[in-house]
Amino acid sequence: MIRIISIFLTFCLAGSLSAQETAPAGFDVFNDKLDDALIGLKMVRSDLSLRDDYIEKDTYRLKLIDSLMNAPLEMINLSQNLLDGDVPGYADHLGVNFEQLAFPDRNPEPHVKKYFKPKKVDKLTLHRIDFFLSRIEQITELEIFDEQNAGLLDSLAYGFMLMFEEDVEDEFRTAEQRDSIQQYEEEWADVLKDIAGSVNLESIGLAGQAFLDVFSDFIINDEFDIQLKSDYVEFKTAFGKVCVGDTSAQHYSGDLFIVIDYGGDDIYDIHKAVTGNFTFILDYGGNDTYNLPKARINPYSFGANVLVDFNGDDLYNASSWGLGAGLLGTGILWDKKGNDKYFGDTFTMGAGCFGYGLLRDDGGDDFYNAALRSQGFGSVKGVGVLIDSLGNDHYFAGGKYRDIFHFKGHNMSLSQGFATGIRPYMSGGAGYLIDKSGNDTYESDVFGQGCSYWWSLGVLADGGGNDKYLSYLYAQGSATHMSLGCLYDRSGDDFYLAHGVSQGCGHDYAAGILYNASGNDDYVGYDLSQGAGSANGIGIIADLEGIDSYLVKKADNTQGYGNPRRDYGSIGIFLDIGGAKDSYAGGPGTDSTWWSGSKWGIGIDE
Amino acid sequence: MSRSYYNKHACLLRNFVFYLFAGLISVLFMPSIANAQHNSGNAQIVDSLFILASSGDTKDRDFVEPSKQAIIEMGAAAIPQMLTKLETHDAREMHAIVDIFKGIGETAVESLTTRIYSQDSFIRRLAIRCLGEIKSEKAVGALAAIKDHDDFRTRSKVMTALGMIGSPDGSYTVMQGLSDPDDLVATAAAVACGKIKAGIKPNVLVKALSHPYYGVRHSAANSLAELGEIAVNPLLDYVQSQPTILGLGYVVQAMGRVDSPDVVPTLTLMLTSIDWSIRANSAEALGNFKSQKTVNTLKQALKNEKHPLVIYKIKLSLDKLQTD
Repeated sequence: MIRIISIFLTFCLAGSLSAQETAPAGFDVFNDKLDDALIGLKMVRSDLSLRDDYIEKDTYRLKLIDSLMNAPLEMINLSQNLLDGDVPGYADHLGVNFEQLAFPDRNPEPHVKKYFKPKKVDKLTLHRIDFFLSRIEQITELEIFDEQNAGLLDSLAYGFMLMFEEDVEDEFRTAEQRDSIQQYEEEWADVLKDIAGSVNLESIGLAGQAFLDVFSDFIINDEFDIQLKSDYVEFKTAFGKVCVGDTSAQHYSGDLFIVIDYGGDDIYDIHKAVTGNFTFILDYGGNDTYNLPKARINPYSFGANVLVDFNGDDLYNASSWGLGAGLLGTGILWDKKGNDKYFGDTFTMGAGCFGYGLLRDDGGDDFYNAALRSQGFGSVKGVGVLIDSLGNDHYFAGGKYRDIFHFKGHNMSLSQGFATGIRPYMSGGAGYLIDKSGNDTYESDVFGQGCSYWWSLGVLADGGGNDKYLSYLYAQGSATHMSLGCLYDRSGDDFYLAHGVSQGCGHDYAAGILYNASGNDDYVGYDLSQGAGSANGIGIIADLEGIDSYLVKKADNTQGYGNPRRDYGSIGIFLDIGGAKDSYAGGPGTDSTWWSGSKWGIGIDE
Repeated sequence: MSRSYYNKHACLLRNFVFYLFAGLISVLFMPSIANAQHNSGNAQIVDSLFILASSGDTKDRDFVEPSKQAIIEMGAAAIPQMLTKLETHDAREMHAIVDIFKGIGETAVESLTTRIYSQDSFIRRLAIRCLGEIKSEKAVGALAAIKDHDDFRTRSKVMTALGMIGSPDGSYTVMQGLSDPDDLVATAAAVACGKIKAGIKPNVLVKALSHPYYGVRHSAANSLAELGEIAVNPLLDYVQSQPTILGLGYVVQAMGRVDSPDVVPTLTLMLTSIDWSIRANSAEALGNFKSQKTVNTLKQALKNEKHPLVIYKIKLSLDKLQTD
């Protein structure tokens, strides 16, 4: 069975998530010790499996989620592949093949003329404009945009906005008021469940995959042929303004459709209303400021936006639905160089639902600041990816919307490699936060950092550097309610801090894994952490090398603990393999020994 | 003003509000309920209280239990409106519904039984769950009648409910459930066997010790222990049948909890097994048999033992035996 699942995963993730030929470093040792731990629990490898049908399946379930539920350990390989493979795409997750368009090897002028009369624009720039025009036709001609669906699409845009937005006033409302709001939202969720399946919503995100060509296209990426003497020109089209700027500082404002800018410290003020919009920006240099549309309804639903900034220290300001967000569409933001700052609110910085959102930053020390459902967030039939390759980066998610259900004074994050469905109506998607190197800091509050909820997959994969992971609850390889969460850290001396339901914790038929492949690491938790299974969930923490320290407050539900629920057990496994002189305080763990204080949990330090 | 002073008075104020609220419920609602049980106002009262009873908001926490209690106090008058809530998909509301029906008790059984045939799987399964919590033998026949339902989740809930009710009338059904092709149904059935006990044949549980799913194996072992003395010979026979190491581990688990001195010689023998997992399980099991001889056996084993988990289990058992 496991072999079949592995074959499926290899097929399913081929391409963007290309299967890695070699297993993660130390994976064989991990496997050996895991088998020992299972023997100690009177279990076998097949017991480390969850089902895909604890509740009736809906039509929105990703096959990847089902496969990983059956074989949750495969999350470790998947995380490795996220670090070493190409950018994960959307089509892979839907299990369909997507053939990229060939570059339009044609004279661009006749095609561009369908949209505007391109006077004073050089041919290279026209090619670049044609790149986007050739691809939006793939979207605008989709069957889903048949006139009879207009009302339906409006409902979908409104309904999903309602599912994701929060209100800072909620904490001050009475129980009756909140109940009324909840009922309204539930009614909408019920409606969305039915209408989302009545049209081929995925087709928009799939068509948007053609924009991923920006990463490889020669003409788009040819920075040596910048048109230094090009004058500023502007054209009006049915989709908005087309602007071509020279190397001086520009202020682009209004209903921007396509902007090709060849340098200078520019300011972009983008205004878009209603839905079905497109914005494409290629900015080849300068320290730029981007002010994205601030609208309650995502203006790029049933559309797309692609922003590529080639150089400079840039500032990105968005509210919700921007900075690589694909809510009912596609959003791609690629920043190639510079120390950048990203600010957003909800559903931003690599977020996808019925679509694909990607924020890719290739270099520099960057700062990412969002409130909610951001920084690698996936929901229903959606994939959200934030991938940062170089630099010492700081990720912050939270600080705005109170978590009124758990602990006073804490805020919801639902970010940083987090995914969720819409319980109990629709299964969720996949959210990935991938940081390949640098000494990074991750801050979230409630729900974050390789975490998931309701038939979803959330992964935070960090390649190298001495990192700090700070969170409060449901974090750092944590999964709740039939879902999958993984925090994978390949190397560096890292520091982990979380209060509970964290650091390799699975709650309610869910699997949470924290896998640290090397380095001298420090882990601090309060309770239900560090290899804790709860309510028939699976929680695993594995640290493969280094001299590590582990501190917990509660000894009776941490470091290899599984509690009984539904009259049988959860599974909690703690593995510290390699590296002598590990330190333990507060919990059952001890250096160079085994322990098993609870019937369903075990710890090994060797 | 010191912090402790402030906290103390904040606490007093909180308690005052709590009791004021509970008092208001009693004073305002109860007389009208008593006077007019079928008053249409009951539905509104139930709805209003249920919002608080099922609230998960931190600021409503003090009102959850009093609100549940107020609905429970309404008894039969609350049942019609509470039945409409069975269709919820919200986990927190489900929890509140179960607590309320459990509190109302036997009076609700007949009404709930009508809902276990619902086409709506949420209503059906929640009604079954409530019947289990009420623990009324009156529900056993109706629950047994749907043991072969197409939906495995429904079958699983039936097994769980029968176990909770604990009536011997459910024993045949739960023993059948052990053979269910679905792991979760078999797990629920294995658990139910240990709760019903009367009429349960140990051999069906012994067979389940080698089930492919750990939930079934663990639950069968625990249930064998619950059966007590009658499980001893089937367990000892199973040891003689050369079971797998995995199966043997569960036999040891069951023996450790079966509360019969007859198993001690076998457990002592297993403490010398060449397999470390059997030694570890035996060491843990022996910790339940308090005697100086057991202490000596474990101490002797500790001298020669090299495996860290076995050492841990021996020490755990010795601590337990010397502390109790």
